[in-house]
Amino acid sequence: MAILEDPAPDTTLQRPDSVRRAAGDTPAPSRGAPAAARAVPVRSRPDPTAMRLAGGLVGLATASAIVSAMLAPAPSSPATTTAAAAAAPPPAPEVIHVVRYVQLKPGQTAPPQAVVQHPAAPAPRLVTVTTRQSGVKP
Amino acid sequence: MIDSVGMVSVETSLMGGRVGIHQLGRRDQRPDLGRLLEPELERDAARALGALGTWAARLTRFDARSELSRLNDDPRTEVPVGPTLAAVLDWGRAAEVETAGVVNIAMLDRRLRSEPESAGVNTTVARQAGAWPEAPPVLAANAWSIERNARGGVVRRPVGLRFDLDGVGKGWLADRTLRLLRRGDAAVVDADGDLAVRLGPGARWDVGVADRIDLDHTVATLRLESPSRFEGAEFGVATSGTSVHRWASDSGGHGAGGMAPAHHLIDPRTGRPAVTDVAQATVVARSARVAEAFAKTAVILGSTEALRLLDRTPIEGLLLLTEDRRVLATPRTLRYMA
Repeated sequence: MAILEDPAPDTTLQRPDSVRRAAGDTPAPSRGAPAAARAVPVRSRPDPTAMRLAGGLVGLATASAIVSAMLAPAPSSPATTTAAAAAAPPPAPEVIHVVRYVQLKPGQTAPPQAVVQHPAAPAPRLVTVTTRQSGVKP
Repeated sequence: MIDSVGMVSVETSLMGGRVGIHQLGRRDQRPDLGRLLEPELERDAARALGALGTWAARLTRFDARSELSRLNDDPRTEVPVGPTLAAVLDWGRAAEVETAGVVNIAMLDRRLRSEPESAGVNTTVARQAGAWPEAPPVLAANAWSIERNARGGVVRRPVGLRFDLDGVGKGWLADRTLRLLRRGDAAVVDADGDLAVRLGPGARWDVGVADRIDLDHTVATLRLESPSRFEGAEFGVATSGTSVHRWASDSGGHGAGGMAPAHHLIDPRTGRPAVTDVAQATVVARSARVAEAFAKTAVILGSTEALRLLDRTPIEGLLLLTEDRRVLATPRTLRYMA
């Protein structure tokens, strides 16, 4: 991520010397600094350009990932569906009719409301007896 | 729908008509087990038919050696009887109460006097009726009693009061025989037209109502079904009428002179064959004996009274054929019409 603006100078913020130097900020001479501090030799620092370039690329990748996630549809996780269900009515359940065929053995009868497909079998008939006045031969 | 495969039927001539036992084999999940039940059903049917014949022989008045005939001939006022006769007499007393006195099993002499010898019935017993003094008038419910005990019962009645168990006995016999048939999906005991039906869970049986004139014609079909696939049911279907046992009489009828049609159904209120417009009545009830009692009651009362009173009783259905060929039914009967 690129540094868009330098933070305001803050006397409590300890900024490394390499950062101050890239911003073109020259360290203000400390007034009244003891003459002994000026005598400390300055060590050589590595070139920050590569680090800044790497940081910039990482920041760019991170921003791209965040933007992609914001624009992508919500994943179907329980946490998200719970919130969505609370907000909108549930869709109508889908009814799936499963047709099963059972082969009946001789003597077996089909379950209630089942359609028996056996054209060759004789149609079952109801047994009838007759009530009549006594003494009548049926 | 009942598959007719596995039905076992036995029939014989008994009680002056045809008696049959029909059973349907069990619709088991194992077809091989269902097949194995058929020989057992045959044995059950044969055993039940034998028992029915044995009981009927004790209750018939057409055999002087029967237990009923011996009771009717006994000169004592207190007569011990066996368990079968005691049970039927007990039911006869209950039927009298349930039908408000219309069914009365203590009017044998009244009936015999209405039947001429030319009618070809009761010739032997009719002659014996003259050996006794004039029977008392139609008696109130408390004129005779039956006290049941471990060995049967004791009948207390005035000398000369004789019992007629024809219709009452057939209904009772059908119910009693049905209790011997517990295997199979369904069973029907046909006691000369009085049917006792047992249906297993999910079973159904159609019953035809024979026409009173054209015996090969069915005027209606009643469909008896169990309440559900998990619960069975028992029914009784009986038909009574004036078409079969009918003759012309100048004493048994109600006309003042001339020949009037007479029949075997005596109205206890008059002591004579009932004056009725009902030629045939079919009743559906929860037992054959109840169906028979109310079928007879419907004929004796006539169509108007029968439709009014019997719709309040605990019978399941009532179908009437009138002399002018009308077919009448109570609303409850419609649920049984196929």
